[in-house]
Amino acid sequence: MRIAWLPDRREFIAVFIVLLVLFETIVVLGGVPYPRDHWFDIYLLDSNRAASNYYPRNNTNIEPGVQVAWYVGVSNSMGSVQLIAIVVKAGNQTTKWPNDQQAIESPAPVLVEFARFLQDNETWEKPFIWSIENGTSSNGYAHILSVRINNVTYPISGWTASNGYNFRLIFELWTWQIQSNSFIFGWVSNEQRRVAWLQIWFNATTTETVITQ
Amino acid sequence: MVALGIVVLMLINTMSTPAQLTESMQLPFSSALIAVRQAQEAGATPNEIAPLIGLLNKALELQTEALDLRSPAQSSKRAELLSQMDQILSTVATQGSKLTRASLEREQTNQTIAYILGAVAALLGSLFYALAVSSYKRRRIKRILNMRVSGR
Repeated sequence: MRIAWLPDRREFIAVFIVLLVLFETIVVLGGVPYPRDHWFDIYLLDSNRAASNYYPRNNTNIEPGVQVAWYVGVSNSMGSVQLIAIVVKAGNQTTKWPNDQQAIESPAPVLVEFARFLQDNETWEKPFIWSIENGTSSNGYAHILSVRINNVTYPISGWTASNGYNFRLIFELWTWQIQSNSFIFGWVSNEQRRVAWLQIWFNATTTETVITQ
Repeated sequence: MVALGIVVLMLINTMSTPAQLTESMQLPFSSALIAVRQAQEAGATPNEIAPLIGLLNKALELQTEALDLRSPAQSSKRAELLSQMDQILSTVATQGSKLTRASLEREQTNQTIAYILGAVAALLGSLFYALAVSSYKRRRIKRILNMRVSGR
């Protein structure tokens, strides 16, 4: 049967095949995931969720019993669900900070850890409300003996600083690796190890009076 | 005396060391995480995955709570919490597998529909082309006939 307005069956079939290949190629390409970089962000904000007034009354000297309110946040841009942990460490002026090139964590003692499952493109902000609960000083060194974080007391030994200057809180991002069934410092993206961490300095020069809450 | 000293030292050590979650994470978390990732790769939407993430975070809370119970007197409570955590992780693994199957089926249906739509678009495009060519030829013949009738 020949349809009157169809000029040429072979021409019609040829056009159909060309268009079919074109449209199906578009369908296939539309389903291919586009390559993207994978990364995490870690950040610290003050009590107003701004990056400005981290210390009470803008005084970097934190007195025992004075509450400091921060938010520590992590954004997952890894393209998949991730199990992460924020590891908070207690450092001072001489503490080695994490090594970005070799992905080695800081050797400072761990104060507290917060773990969380995050969806892709999800940002999680954890309140980090802390205060020096117990401290003392001797021989020109200030010792922080316990810290209260989010209403839980964390005793710590060996957290000292010369004259109470240059204490540090180090926040490291760790991620769960399914292959090794363990957390690692940083993460692996395109077979490359990457790390993210931050630190904030403070002084505690008035720990002479032992304060116990 | 030495044994007493060791016990005292161990107690002091237990008291002054915070629970290290990064070192004591339970293995079942991996299988649950794999199940959720598979669902995501199969095409599950963030809204579908969100309840599973909620359950996983609940399991994490239970584990953290269990890690804080370190005295022998709290061992039964600790075991109860860990048992609840295992149940939740098992639920996540099951629901993740179901979601993976449902997402795969939905993706296959969507893909088939996309291919069919591609074929329909190609057919419509071909018909449009044929109509356009036919119309063009008809107009051309008409113009030639008009030219002959008018004697030009």
